[in-house]
Formats: sequence, C-alpha cells, structure tokens
Amino acid sequence: MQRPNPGELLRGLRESLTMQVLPALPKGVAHQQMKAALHLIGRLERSWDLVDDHLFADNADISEVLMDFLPTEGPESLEERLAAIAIAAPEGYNDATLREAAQRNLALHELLADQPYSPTIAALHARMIDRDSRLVGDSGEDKRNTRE
Amino acid sequence: MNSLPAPDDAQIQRALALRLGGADGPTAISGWQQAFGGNARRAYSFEATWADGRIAPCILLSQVTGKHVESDTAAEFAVLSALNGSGVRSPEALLLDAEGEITGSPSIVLERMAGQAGAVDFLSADTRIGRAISEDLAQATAELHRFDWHSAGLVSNDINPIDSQIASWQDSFRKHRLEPHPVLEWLFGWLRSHAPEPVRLSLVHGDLRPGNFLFEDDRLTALLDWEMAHLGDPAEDIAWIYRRLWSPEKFLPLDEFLAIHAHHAGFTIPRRSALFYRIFSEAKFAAISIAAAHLFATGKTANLRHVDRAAKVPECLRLALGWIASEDWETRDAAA
Repeated sequence: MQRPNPGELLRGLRESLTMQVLPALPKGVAHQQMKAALHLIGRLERSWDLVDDHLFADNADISEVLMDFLPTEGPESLEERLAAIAIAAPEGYNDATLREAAQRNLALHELLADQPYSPTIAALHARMIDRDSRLVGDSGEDKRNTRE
Repeated sequence: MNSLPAPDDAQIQRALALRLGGADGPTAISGWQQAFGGNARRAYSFEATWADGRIAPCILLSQVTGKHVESDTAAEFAVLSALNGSGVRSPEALLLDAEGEITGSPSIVLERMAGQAGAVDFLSADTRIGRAISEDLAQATAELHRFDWHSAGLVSNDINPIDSQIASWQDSFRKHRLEPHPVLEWLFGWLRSHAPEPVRLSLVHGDLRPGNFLFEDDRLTALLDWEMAHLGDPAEDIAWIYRRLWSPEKFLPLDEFLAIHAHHAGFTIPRRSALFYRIFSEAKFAAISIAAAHLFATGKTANLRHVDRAAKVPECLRLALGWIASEDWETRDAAA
C-alpha cells in the first residue's frame, strides 16, 4: 500500500486549494474556474475507488439480462453480437483490464439500446441508474434551490 | 460569420454606432462595459444616444463559438420583435447583426431593462418577496402563453411542434453523447409515445427559470434570454420553472402557480401536461448536460463548469424513471 492513497491526496489537494488559492483569486473567471475545479476534485475524492466495481457490476448485470434474451450460441449470441459492434477502447484508462471492461461496457450499452422494452429491461434500467447515481455521488437527497 | 481576429472593444463600438444610427448618422455610445451574458454569450452594456436626441440603455449580446445549446440569433430577434409592444414583459429588440459584422459573431442589441437576474438572490429572498415575485412570474408566463403569435407574424414550419421539440433534444443528445446512454435513448422514445395534446399552441420561452428573468423589489420586470423560444405546449415552460434545481416551490406551490397562470392566461393547463413536461425537462437537461460535457471533451470550451456535466445525467434519469414508475403518474395519467 502506498500512503497517502489517491483519496487522501485528492482531499489534501482540495483543502489546500480551498484554503490558500481560492481566497487569493479575485472574483471573476479564475475564481469561477477554481470553484468548478474544487467541486470536481471533491467528486473524484468520493468516487475514485468505486469505479472498478461500478464497471464490473454493470457489465455482469447487463450481460446476465441480455443472455436471457439471446441464444447461447451462434451469430446472435451475446458474445458474437458484442464482437460485431465496432467500438474503440475509451481513453483515460491506465490498466489494460479496466480499459477492456470499459470497452465491453460501451458495447453492452449499445446492444441494450436495441432490445425491446420489457419489465426485465425496465428493472435493469433502474439498477443501472442506481449504480450510476452512487458513482457520481447523487444519493437522491433533495437538492432544491441550489444553483446550477 | 467571418474568420478574422475578434475585433477589440473600440472597433466593436465604432461598428455598433454606425449600425444603430443607420441613415441618420452614427449613434453615440457611452458607458461601455462588459456584462455577464451567461455561458453562451458575451454581453456589453452601454447607453445609446441617437441623432434625434433619444437616449436608451442597451445591451449587446454576442454568441460565443463553444456553446452547449443550439440557437439562432435571427430567430430570437424575430420573436422579440414580434413581442415588442404586446404587453409581454420582454426587452425591445433594437438591432440584429446576424452576419457578425460588429463583434465577429451573430449579435443582437436589446433595450436594457431595470432589475436584477441573480438566481441565488431570488431563491434566497425572504418568503414574502419570493412569493410575490413567483406570483408575478406566473402572471408574466401567462401573458406570454396567451400572446397571439400568429397575428404577430410568427409562423410555424413544424407539422407537429411537440414532436419536433422532443426530436431536437434527442438529436442533440445523439450528436454529442460520449457513450450510448441506453436509458436516455429509451426515455426519448417514451416521451414521443406519451406526449399530451397541448391545450393551446403557445409561444414558449424554452428556458424560463430563475436567472433568466429580471426582478426589482417584489415585481418581475422582464423575461430574458429568448434564444430557445419556440412554439409548443405552455406546460413546457411551467415544468422547467419548477425543475427542482431552481424551483420556486418553497415560495409558491405548483398548484397555486397553475391557478394564477390559468386566471391570467384564460385557459387551464392540465396537470397531466405539467407532469409530462416535468419528465421531458429531465431528458432535456440531460441532453444539455451531455452537450456541455462534449464541448469540454472536444476542446471547444475551457469552462470547467462543463467538464463534469455528464455526471448530472444519472440524477435526471433517476427522477424521470421514478416519476414514470410511480403510481402517482399512473393515476393522474389515467384520470386526465
């Protein structure tokens, strides 16, 4: 283990910038940009170690549902359909396994978009949105009357 | 629009003086200063003095290149021109520069009206003032929705403006998405198959919310930012006003807003329509957020408010799916 870990580093970065840099900036574009950056750093601090689980859980859930709709073998099977979807691996990943999982996730989402709607798909949609909401730190609490 | 370097302030003022004055000679420009124009436009306030001695406070609004909402300056000018003198609380449209000859980008000059627009100031107002402004917002919205757009010369080229509005946001979403978003894709399909018939086809502001109207003391003085105005269901504006991020619900519950609106508009918006457009608003906000994230990801803006905008999408979808699945929606839908 390497301390400080990424969450601790991000917290230190956020606190230091909040205490020492933000107050020194005049009101205006630079100040607005720093506030937006701090907001993002805070979100990364809360979510940096959730990304892997989110991605693998999403892939497993969607795969399981789609396998119930698709034949187990042949050109219409899940793996054949996924292989036929030409999607480039997204940038931003350092780990090859994670990058591959992200690429599969994009293909699964594309395949899911083509499926006819059903209660099973509706339930999957709800689980996907719950997962995404947790990842971005949207716990569902009332957020009225805060500015965009 | 040309590709020359952006003109400096002095060049802008010279070009503006000539265009505003027209055949009567240049208009005198004074008190020139940059103002806040939102994420999508640059703004400059100034005083114009015409050759005949008329003086007016003005604002010049000029498009920026990297923006997350598609808009048409000429269409906005046409809407504002049609509204001039109608009683709808909107600034007088003074000049259109669709070719970008003044600033390098399409621009309009409007009368600068009294009041402040701060969303935070409005939402943190004391209860009495907040309620009074919200009631006046309901009335001003009704005045807009009863406006006779046809007689004023505005025309609709859409066979079905409601479908077109849903389609335009779906198109924007598809154009800008960085990933497939199957749930949002499904939601647009749901909207198409559940859109209610509008009780009346009205001129809809399209972005009516705190921050886009001026208020002074306890009175609303003007509706601003008409870039997204279109013909559509008046329920769309009301649902957008009551989107929870900026909703005036704490000052004025939606049902009371609807009652005031009905009194001044002369027609009643079905509650089912308001509920439908509440769901539409989440799809629209998700599409805007995805466009904003795309702008940053493709280097078209350096505005850090856009960098993580796609993180807003799950909340939009959670709300929309929750409302669609709720017994509340089913009951009210069936009762409509």
